[in-house]
Amino acid sequence: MTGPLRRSLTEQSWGALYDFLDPNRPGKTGPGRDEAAAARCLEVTRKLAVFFASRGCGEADDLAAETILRVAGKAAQIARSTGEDPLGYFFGVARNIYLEWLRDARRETVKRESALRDPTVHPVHDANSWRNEEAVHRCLDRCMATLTGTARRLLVSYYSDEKAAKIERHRRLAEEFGKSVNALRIEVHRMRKVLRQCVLGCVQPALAGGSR
Amino acid sequence: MNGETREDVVLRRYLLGSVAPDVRERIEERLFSDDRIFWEHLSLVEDELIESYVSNELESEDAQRFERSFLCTDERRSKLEFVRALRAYVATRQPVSISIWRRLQETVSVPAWAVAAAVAVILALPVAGGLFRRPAERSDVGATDVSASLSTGLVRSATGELPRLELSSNCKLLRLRVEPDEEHPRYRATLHEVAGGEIWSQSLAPAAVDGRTAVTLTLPCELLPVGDYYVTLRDAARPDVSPSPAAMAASSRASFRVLRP
Repeated sequence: MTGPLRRSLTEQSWGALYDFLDPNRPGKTGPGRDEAAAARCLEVTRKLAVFFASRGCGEADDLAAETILRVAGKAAQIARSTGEDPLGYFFGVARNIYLEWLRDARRETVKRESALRDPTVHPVHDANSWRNEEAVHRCLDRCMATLTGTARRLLVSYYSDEKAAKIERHRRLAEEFGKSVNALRIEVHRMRKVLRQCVLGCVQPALAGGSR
Repeated sequence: MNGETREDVVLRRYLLGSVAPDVRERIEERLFSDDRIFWEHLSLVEDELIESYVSNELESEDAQRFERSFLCTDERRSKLEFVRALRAYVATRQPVSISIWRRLQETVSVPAWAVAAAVAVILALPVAGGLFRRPAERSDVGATDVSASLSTGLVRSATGELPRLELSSNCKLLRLRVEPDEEHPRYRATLHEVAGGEIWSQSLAPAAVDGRTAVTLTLPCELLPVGDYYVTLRDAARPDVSPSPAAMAASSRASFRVLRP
């Protein structure tokens, strides 16, 4: 969940949204009360971004945030109605927002087309964090060291060849680790996710704090 | 892409915005369901799509769609940068090999470096303690950072046992100082697991340490569970060549054994 979005919701609507996403939340107490709802909210936001992006909406993140805001605005009412499927509700609201976007986009076709051709329309997210190769590699060193030896070997091997060689290597790796190629893909995907989170958490403080 | 299924292809096209509306509807219904396996699968295909782009594996039309449409979220742009960084990082480290023993079964040309640059290891060695030149070259059992010196020529102690390196559970970083046989401006230093394959590799410049030229391989201790290992050095400017059966079987290969409390 982005900061601006968090701020734009009142405490009340935020609470209602979380209750909608986690029906068990009202009965919970303590610091972990929002945990499940927050995770669910993040997942829904990501799904919404996928939805809008796949429909060609250049402002996918903004439209996903807009969807969350609209649902939050009505969450108190929805939560009271029984049997409402949260994900299905988000999907319905997202479709409406998409139709609105489409109408606006048609009005601004020329503007949109030129924006799509403009390479600056998709600036690299937190690009500065990634430009300092030395710092990024230090973070990768550190994060790689948190993986098990086998995981590290697997990950490095997985990325070490191109195209045809890569296919063959992946087949061999799967054989060596006693897995199907598909199981290997899934395992690498999960490790990559863990590693990415670790590196993201490391890169920005590393740059802010100077070289280490 | 290896292992790619028909569903992968459809999901990839969905992510690039190039599926028919009815297919898109079906995918979105699953996207907004509690089907976690589907969501995980879509995330996997998304990651692999980014990798394909970074590897220049996408057809030109897909690459255009990727740039113009797919990269419209912060998260995807961040993932793209991460994959680029990871690939650059891996490129600076030697690819981890498939099992050395599998290579032994294959017919590969003999690389001269594998034999010529084999190094012997002189480590903290209770069995052959007389091999140490200076106390500083011993590993400090229990320390978080452990240093050990390696030099060429000697593989085993007089008793025939492998030199031993004792690493405590506190050990975080291991610095292996290696004295090369030949002079080169830069070396590729590789740590091998005898029963497995290459597990760590770095391109390193030599430096004078106590008047002797050496390169220092720094690696996480966690990388070395109990087992037998050896280190090779080669000229980093020479192309990478797979070790041949003859090279791997050569008795001049230097080895050491890691012990844990």
